[in-house]
Amino acid sequence: MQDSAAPSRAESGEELARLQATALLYFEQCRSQTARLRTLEDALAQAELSLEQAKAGNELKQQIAQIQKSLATKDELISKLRSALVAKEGARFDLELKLRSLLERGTVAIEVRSNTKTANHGTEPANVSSPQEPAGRLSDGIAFATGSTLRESKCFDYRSMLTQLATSGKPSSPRYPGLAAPTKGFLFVLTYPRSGDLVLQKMLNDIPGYCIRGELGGALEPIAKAWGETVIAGQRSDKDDLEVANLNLGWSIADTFVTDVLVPPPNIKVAGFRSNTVHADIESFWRQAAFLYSSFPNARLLFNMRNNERVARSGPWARQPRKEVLRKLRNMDVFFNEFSNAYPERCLCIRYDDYTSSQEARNRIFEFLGEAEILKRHHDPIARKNEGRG
Amino acid sequence: MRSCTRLAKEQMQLGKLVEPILLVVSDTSVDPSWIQTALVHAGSTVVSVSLDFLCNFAEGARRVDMISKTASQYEGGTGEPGHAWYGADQVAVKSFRQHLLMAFESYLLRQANERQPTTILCPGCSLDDDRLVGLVTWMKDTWATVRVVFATGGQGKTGDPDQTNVLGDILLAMQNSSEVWLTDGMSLDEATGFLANWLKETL
Repeated sequence: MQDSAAPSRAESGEELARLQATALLYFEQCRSQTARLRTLEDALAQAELSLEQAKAGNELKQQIAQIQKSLATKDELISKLRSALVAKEGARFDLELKLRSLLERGTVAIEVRSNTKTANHGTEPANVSSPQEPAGRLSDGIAFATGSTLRESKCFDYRSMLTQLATSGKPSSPRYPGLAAPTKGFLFVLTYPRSGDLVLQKMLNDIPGYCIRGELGGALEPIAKAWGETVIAGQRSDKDDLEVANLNLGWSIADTFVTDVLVPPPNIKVAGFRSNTVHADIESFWRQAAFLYSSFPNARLLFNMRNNERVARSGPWARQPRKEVLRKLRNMDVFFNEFSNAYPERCLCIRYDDYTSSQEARNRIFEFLGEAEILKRHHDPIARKNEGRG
Repeated sequence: MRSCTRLAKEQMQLGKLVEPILLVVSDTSVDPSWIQTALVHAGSTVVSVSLDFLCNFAEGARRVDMISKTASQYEGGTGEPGHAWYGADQVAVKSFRQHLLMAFESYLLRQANERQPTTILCPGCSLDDDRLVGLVTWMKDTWATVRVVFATGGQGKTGDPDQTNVLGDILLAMQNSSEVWLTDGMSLDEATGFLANWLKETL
C-alpha cells in the first residue's frame, strides 16, 4: 500500500507543478488580454472623441455658412435700404421743388433768407448780386431747415445742390467763357473699362460739332471730392451765402477744366469727355456725377454699360478674381441706373450690346442728344460698319 | 518787407494772387483753439479748412500733369477722335494749376478783409502725412504770396521742428522761404507777440 502511494505523491507533485505552470500561463495571457482590451477601449474612446469633434466642426462650418449668408443678406438689405432712402429723399425734394415753385408764385407766406451781406462780401460782390447770377435766385429762395435729415445726410446734399441748380439759372458767359463755349452744352460718358467705350466715343465724335475727349476726367475726381466736401460740410465760416459760394466754386472749376484741359475747338456745339473710372462706393460715384451734372451747364450724362460676363472675360479684368470683377461691374450698373432714374431728363443709360446691334437703340441715343435729324440725314455709322462686315 | 519773387512779379502784373496769404498747418499735438486764438490775437483773419480739402485740390493739379505725361507716351494717338487719350496733347497743365488755385482762392477767401493778413488754418494734421509735400509744393509753385507756418507741440520755446523724413522733404520744398515753426510750448502772449512781429515783417 505504501509502495503504490509514493509514486502517486510524486505524480501529484508533478501534476501540481504543471497545473501551476498552466495557471501562470493563463494568468499571463489574461493580463495581456486585459492590456489589449484597455488599449482598444482607449482607441474607442479616442474615436468617439474625434467623431464628436468632427460633428462639432461640421456644425461650426454650417454656422459659418449661415453667418456668411446672413451677412450677404444684410449687405443686400443695406443696399436696398440705401436705394429706398435715395428714392425717399428724391420724392422729398420733388415735393420741396413744387413747394418752392408755389412759394415763388407768392401763394404761401415764406421765410426769406437773410442774404443782404452777400453784396458786401469779398472780391466778387457785383457778380454775385447780379440778377443773371445764381445768387439772385437763391437769395429769394426759402432756407432749408437747420439740422434736417437733408442737411445731415451726404448723398442727399448733392441732391440739394442739383435741385437748387434746377431753379438757379446758368453761369454768366462773361465770367465763365469756357462754360459758354459749346453752344449746346456738355456731354460726359461715364462707364467702365472694356465696355466698348471707345466705339461710343468715336460714334459721338462723328456727329458734326461734337468734341468728346478721352480719359481726361481723372483730374476732376479729387476736385469733385473737395467740391463734395464743401456741399456736405461747408468749408467757410460765412454759412449765410455758402450755397452761392458752392455754386461759384463748381462753375469756376468747371470753367478752368474746359479752358485748360478739354480745350474744345472753336465753334463747337458739344464738348465733354469719356471716363471709365470704377467707383468703389456709391458716394464716390454720386460725387463725380453730381459735380458734372450741376457744374457744367446743360450737361448730359451717358452711362454706358455692357454685358458683365463679357466684360469680365476681357482685357485686364480677366486677370482679376471673376467674382470680384462681376461684383464691381454690377455695382457700377446699379449706380448708373440710380442716377439716371433720378435725373432722366439729362441722363441716359445705354448698353453696348444694344446700340451696336439695334437701329432703334441708336435712335434713342441720338434723340436723347437732340440729334435725331443728323442720324436721318447721314447714314448711320455703325450700320454702315456692320454692312461692310457683312 | 517780404522779398518779391519772379513768380510774384508775374502774378502782380497779371493782377492775380497778390494778396498776402498765410497757410498754417497745425499738428495734432497742438490745441486747435490755442492756435486759432494766437492767430486772431496777432491780427489775422482766420479761415479754417481740413487737410483733405486742400490736398484734393493739389491732387487734381497733380493728376492733370500725370495725364498729360502718360498721354504723351502714346505716340501720335491723341489726335484721333477714337483714341483713349484723345485731346491730351492740348492740355495746358501750368495754366490749369494756376486757375485751379484761383478758383480755390476766390472760394475760400472771399470773406477776407483786404487790410488784414489772411490765414488758412489747417488744424489737426499729422506732420508725417506724405501728402503735405505735394500740397506745399503745389502752393509754392503756383501761389507766389503764400507763406507756410508749421505749428507743432511740446518742443519747448525754441520752436525747433521734429526732424522726420516728411518734414525734411517739406523743408526742401520750401527752399528759402520764410517759414516758421510755432510751438504751443510758448504762452499765448509769447505766441501772439511772435506771430504779430513775424506777420509784420513777412507780409
